[in-house]
Amino acid sequence: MMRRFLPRLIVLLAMLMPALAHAESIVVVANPAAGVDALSRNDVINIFLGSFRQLPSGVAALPIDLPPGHPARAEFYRLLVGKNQAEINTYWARLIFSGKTRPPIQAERVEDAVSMVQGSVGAITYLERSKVSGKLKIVFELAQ
Amino acid sequence: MMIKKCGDFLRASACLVALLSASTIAAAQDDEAGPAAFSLRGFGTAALARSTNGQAEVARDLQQPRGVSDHWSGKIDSNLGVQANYLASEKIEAVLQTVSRYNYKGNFSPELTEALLKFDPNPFLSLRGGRVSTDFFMHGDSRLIGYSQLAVRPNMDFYSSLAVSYLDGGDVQVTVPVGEGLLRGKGYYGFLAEKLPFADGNLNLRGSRASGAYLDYQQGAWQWRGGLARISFKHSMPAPVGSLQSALIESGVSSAQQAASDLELQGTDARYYSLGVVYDRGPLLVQMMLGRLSYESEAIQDQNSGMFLAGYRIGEIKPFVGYSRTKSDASHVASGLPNTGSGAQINAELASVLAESHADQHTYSIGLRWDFRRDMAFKFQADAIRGKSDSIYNFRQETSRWNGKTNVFTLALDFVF
Repeated sequence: MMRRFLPRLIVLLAMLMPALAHAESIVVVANPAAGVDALSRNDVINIFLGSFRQLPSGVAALPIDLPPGHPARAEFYRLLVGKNQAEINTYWARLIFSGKTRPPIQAERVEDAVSMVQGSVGAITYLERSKVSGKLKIVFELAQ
Repeated sequence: MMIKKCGDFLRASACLVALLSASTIAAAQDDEAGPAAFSLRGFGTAALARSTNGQAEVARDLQQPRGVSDHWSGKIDSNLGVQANYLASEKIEAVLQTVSRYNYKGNFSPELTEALLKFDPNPFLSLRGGRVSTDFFMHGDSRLIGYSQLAVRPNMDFYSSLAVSYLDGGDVQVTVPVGEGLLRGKGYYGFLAEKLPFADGNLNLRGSRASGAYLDYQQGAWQWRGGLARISFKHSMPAPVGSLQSALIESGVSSAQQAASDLELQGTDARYYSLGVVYDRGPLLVQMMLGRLSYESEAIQDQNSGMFLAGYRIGEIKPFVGYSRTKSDASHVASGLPNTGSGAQINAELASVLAESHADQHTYSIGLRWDFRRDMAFKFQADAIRGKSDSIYNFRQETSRWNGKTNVFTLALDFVF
């Protein structure tokens, strides 16, 4: 019985894997030296949308976006404020061209975002949970 | 003179941009982890609009000498802006922006719309000096950036009377977390540098002092703002107001001389009061604004306006509906001259001048924005303007058969780069 179903189960699981991976939660990560245990959703919105860029510990926050088109980037903003990438770009067009606030720094690769966070106390980015290494501190989680 | 000056400005800007770029490419290469020190970006709109009533032209705002009527034209909404940002350090940034748009001269000659240094010593404080964009009304500083807006253009009943885009001076912004939200206060002070088309000449705003402040509270998806601004006019109105004033004074009648004084703009103030609420979260965007413009001079009527805009995104398409209303208070200035001979002529001119800034209309809007590819949006909008026949402030070249009613159709392609 088991012998008959096991291969099918494996095939089924394999088929589900991409969907499961897609449903992985997005986490916001900071440098462990930033002195932050957790951020609120409002803190994350204020930092990434440029309204108020300070961590609760008093350190100036330096948000870093993943490359354009990276699935985690679209997912991050969808889960955070319910906006798609076009709406986020629209929002930034208003602020950039009225000479107000800069958008987050745009990393060229996920690895660059990670190394920037590791190398700078106030730097902060977001990753799929499975991409988090030991040298990053998870400060907020956006569940699916 | 004006063109030469503008040319000098542009040449200077281009030199500065070239210098900044040359000096910073090397710096950017040294420090790959930091933000790019120099960036060049832009925005633009290619649009076609037409109305259904040939008896008046619809202008986008007071800065445009002519508008569109019953044939398609790209004039009122099309523009192109280029902006250079130089990040000298984490806290200091320089911004230069030039925009080509249909302007008071009736052409698209570019003008310098921003040339500022920004200093953010900490997350609470932001200081800007130089030529800075103005936001007398909420979102008033992004009126030219079509891509940043849901509708094809800023609501004409509400924003068209905002006569200025920038000032030479500075502003201070303070942001403090309060409760679950952010409280932001901003104050600005400076001198205007623009001109407005007026009859066959220009109303010169150069050197007029402008100051103002707003208080803004943002919590979650909601943003509330109340603001006030003041302009102290440095110059008088050009002809025909100027020549009417002369005629009133020369009549020798004291009531007529009083009327001339009531029409004087120089040395008087305009005040802008505004309230705005925005809800923006997920697919839903709602904006509601109320504004009042009050002039000490009787040459321009006081005006009350309000607008509502709501859009809901479905996939990449965001349909929207809007409603706005504007009404000005009729000016009551009488010359006291008898309605005969030259007195009749002066009285007729006075009535015409007083009526020129009258607005009394509603606008119903419907449209959609389609973000069909990255950094580009296509928009369609239909506006039904329903006004009285004496509602002419937003219109140009109106004939005696103008009835205050027209529909405006607009197709627009907005982009940023």
